[in-house]
Amino acid sequence: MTPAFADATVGLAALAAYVALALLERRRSDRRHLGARLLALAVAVAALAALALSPARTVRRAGTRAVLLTDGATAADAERIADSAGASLVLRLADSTPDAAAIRARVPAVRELIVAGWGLDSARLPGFAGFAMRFVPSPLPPGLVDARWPARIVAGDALVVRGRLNGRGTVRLEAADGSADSAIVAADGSFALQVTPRERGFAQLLLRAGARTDTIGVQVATPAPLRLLLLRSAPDYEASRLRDWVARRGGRVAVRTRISAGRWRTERVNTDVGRLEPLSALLLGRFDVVVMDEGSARSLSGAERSALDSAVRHQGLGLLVDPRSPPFDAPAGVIAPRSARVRLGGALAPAVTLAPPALRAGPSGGTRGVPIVLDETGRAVAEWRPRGAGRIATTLVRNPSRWTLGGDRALFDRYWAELLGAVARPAPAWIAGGGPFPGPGEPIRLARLGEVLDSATVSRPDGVLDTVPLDPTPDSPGAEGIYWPRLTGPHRITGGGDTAWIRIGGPESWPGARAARRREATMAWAALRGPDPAPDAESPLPVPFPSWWFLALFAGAAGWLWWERRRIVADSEKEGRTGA
Amino acid sequence: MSDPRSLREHVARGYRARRTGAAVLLVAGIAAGAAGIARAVPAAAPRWSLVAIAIAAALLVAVRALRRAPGPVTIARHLDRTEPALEESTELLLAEPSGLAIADRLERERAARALAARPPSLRHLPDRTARGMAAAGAAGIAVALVAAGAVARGPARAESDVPREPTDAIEPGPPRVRRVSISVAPPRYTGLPVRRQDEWELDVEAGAHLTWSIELDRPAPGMRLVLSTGDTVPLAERGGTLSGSAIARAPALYQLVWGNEGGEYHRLLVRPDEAPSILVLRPAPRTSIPTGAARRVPVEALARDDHAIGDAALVATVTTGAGEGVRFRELRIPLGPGVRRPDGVRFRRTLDLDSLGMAPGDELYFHALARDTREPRPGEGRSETVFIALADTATAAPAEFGGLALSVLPEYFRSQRQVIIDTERLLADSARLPADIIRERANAIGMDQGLLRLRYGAFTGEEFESAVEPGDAHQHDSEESATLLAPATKATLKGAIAEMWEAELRLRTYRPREALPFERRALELLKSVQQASRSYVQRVGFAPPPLDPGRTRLSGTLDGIRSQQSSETVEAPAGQPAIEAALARARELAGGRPARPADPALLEGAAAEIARQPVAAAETGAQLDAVRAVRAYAVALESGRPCPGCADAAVRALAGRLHRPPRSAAPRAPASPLARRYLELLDAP
Repeated sequence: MTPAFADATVGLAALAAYVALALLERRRSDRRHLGARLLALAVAVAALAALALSPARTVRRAGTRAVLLTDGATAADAERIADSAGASLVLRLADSTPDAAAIRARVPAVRELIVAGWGLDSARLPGFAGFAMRFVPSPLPPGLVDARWPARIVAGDALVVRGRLNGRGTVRLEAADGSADSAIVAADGSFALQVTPRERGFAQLLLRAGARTDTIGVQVATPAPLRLLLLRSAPDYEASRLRDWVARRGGRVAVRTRISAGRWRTERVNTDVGRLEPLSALLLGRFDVVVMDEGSARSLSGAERSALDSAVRHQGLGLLVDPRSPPFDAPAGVIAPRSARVRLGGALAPAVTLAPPALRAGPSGGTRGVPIVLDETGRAVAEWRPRGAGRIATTLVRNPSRWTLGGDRALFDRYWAELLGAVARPAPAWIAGGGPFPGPGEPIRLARLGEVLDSATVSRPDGVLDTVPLDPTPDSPGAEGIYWPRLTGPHRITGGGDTAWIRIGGPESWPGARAARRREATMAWAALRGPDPAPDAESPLPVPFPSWWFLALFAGAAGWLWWERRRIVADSEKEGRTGA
Repeated sequence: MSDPRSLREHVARGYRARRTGAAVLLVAGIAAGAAGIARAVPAAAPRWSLVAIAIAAALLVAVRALRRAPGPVTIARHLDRTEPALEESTELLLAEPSGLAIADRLERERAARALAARPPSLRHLPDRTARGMAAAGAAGIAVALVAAGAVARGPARAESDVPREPTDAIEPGPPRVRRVSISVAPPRYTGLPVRRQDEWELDVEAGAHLTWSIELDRPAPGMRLVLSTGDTVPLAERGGTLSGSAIARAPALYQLVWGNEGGEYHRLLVRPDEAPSILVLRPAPRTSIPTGAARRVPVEALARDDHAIGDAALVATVTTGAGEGVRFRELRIPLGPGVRRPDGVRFRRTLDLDSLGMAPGDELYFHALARDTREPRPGEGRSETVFIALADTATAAPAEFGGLALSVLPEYFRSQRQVIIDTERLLADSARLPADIIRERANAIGMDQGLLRLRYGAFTGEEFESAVEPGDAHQHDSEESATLLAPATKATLKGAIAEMWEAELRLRTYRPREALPFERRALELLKSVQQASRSYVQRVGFAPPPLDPGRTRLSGTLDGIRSQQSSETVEAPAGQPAIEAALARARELAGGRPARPADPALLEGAAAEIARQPVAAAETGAQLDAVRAVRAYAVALESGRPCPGCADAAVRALAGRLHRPPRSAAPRAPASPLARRYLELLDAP
């Protein structure tokens, strides 16, 4: 049976049915609403026939173009976009077409995708490399659309969470210990919240925006004790305070103070390191940072200088020197030391005495300094410069202990933590890369920097241990591998005597922020790909009318006929009763 | 046995033996079961009396059952059923043979023979009463066993003030506190009465004497109270009541401890004695007494304390003299008995400045000192300092300038006074003098005044013009002499110069009467500058160490100077390992991990560490809440009871009791391969 023959058969059958039913209607003794009844009959029969025939309209579309429907857009949106863009079909990333390869297999003709909604994950986009792409983004949902925070902070340091809210409102960050910060978002929706968690290991904080609460996981690391060598040309109050500060944190400190020509005072705290003179590669290998004043720098012998330089360049040793020492070589000032306030952690600290020379703003020795501490006017008063694998820093601040004496112990802590942390010899570390909102089934790149390890052990939230094999990285000591999480919750990564944490969020977590990330990634990808440069000419394409239209017509007409018939029966029964 | 009586007795003995056994089982079973229930169910106090009632009822039933032996009919029916040889004729056997028919008698003899051949078995006596009693007794024993098992698995410890001894489950449960009574005797000096309370939570005055009286349901040796400060209060038993006492010194948490385990934590809040406060109501903080006024100053002070004011006094310092010749004299003037008022205690006294030996120009500084009745050392509070100055001229203002370290030349002041005296004499003589003489003299005084003004201006660096001495015009005085004066003093001197200028103007225009007020005001200002010289700081001498002339210095020899070595170990401050470990574990449990048997002990250890934390009085509430939240979770884990929200509450409680970790330097991560390559290239020559 050909389609045309089938269509003709259905049409004839419908016509015959209408004629027969119309005759029956006409024969009925009651002739009320006859015209309306015949019309309703015609509509019902026609609707039934249309359901069987499924008529189509003709639109002009390109067969190589398809709309890809993603979260954030409805099917109606996709249809509308397909109509306006002339796409021949609408695809949805579902079971039938889970990825780009499935689309290619199912509809090989499609060369261009018009992505509707919030777009695709950055991890998925490379799979669509073979398609030209256009992006019609949907508006972001109200609520949090961005949140950023460091994956790891040091114990005692504040966690700063920055983000953006789509709309107005209040955001609040809460730690488990009860400390909290809240803010009304700025006009552009941005906010910054700051809380210092007390727990160590892995802290989980709650970020509340309106009725929604999301969990932030951050590793609060307790750093290994620092190994510090202090070289002084004369006894110094500040050096003693620094020695005590490091020692009270479990650090190992050795102090070599010159008391006369060839005479030294040697102090060892928490360490059994041997002779401190002369400086040798072996000795320097036992420290993370060397702090040296100008007099000590000048009195180094050639061999000592060479050992120190080599340890910095090749072993990553940190060096904190006087600003008048190389490589800073700031000119000796003729003006008196000045008293000035400095900026620590975003806030202005009480005034301290600064050494006379200003740090050179421009390059010195080919490398520009990276500021650690700034003064009120924004000029660097402490900075570091790279030298090989190590770093050399200097500071103009002469009396940081003044903060302690003034009751601001936290400023003293912060000053030395930032200064020494900036230069200290790097320690092997875990880096877990999986984007800010990793979810189950999304790959996490685990990298061990500074150390070659065979594998990492991941402790899942249910207590099961997964082993992730690692491959050595070329060019530098390190290893990396991919972990595929399956559960939501905190995962602990261990290996090399070190621990790191990642938190895998559920599919319901951070909906706005995930949507925004996807939108940005897709927008960037689409901007790079662009539309199909040579699309097929648009050809007429039959698009069937939705069958529910006809179903509704049939139901309406048949319903009315039924109601009309029932009323007539009711009227005749009433008349019968009256007659009796 | 053919004898009916002996048969009856034989069977009745069997019944009795069985019933006795059943009665013993009944009483023992009921007693055990009731006791087991009473122990297992932490119910109201009268449960032990219910146990007694149950035992008494069981005894009653047993005695009744023993007294009611089975009758002959029962025995006959039993024998008929169990002994087929008797051919249902036991009733005949039990009946007297004399009253029987012949056939019955023959049958009876036959039965008697059969019985003689085989005595009846007592194994299946149909005694329902005995069976019922035995069943009830067995049921009671079963209940007791079940209850003992429940107790051994662990009761709800949070509901008990006294812990169970975990090593001995067969022992009866922990003694329970029936009643606690705490007597609080505040220190005597507070004047507060002794009070008693039935609550464990204490809010007492520092130094209060606390006496606990604890009634337990049974004797328990080794009970004690342990405070989170580390102190232990031993409890002595006397007449079934434990008692112990302590002095409240510092806020703490405390618990009743038995064996190795502690009960609920309670709060001991200690309110320290506050120092008294005293306020001088009269005189005003700065009072000047003009010359000629009454030199009696009424003083009134108001003192307050949280308990009682002891005494009050004025601590006064009298200064006499001027310039560098200032002398100080210190006095302590008791304030008489105060008058108690609703707003505090008021003290009054009148200071007679003459009796204090004060002369014009002298000053008196004093503050009031109040003491409370605290023992052994009273608390003290002092008021702000009050200044009383006796003016030495009728118009001099009191000294309110500080920090002047320059001796102001006295002849200038005398000259100003001379100008005034001259002007007054001119006014007195003006009635009898001709006008031109008056003008001449007024002009002469005006010139003196002008000279004085110029000489004085040298000290202030004033810029001025003068027609009289043109050489001084536009001459700036030396920077040194101008800056030797304190700014406030300089301002006063400038004011004096301005007054002199006005006086000079009027004298030069022959209006001596109008000039006089300006002259006087100039003198007044100059006197105030003179008074300012009082603010000298007492000199402290410097005694240099004696020189050793025999020793040669800067010789350059290093003999005897050696390198020094020192080595020490600094302990890093102890962390909170128990709390941190419990927090990490509680986080895991809250995340859905299954509990381990060691978890309750871990949480209990953390709770104990929290309780030991020294905290401020205001924080003991939060501390106690944290301890309770952690222990509630531990108890829930141990008993296996579901406790929604307990894990999260424990996490919050544990995290909230952590100290803020100290900030320390953290090394950076090594550079990534790309960054490393970049830095190497950057650094290459």
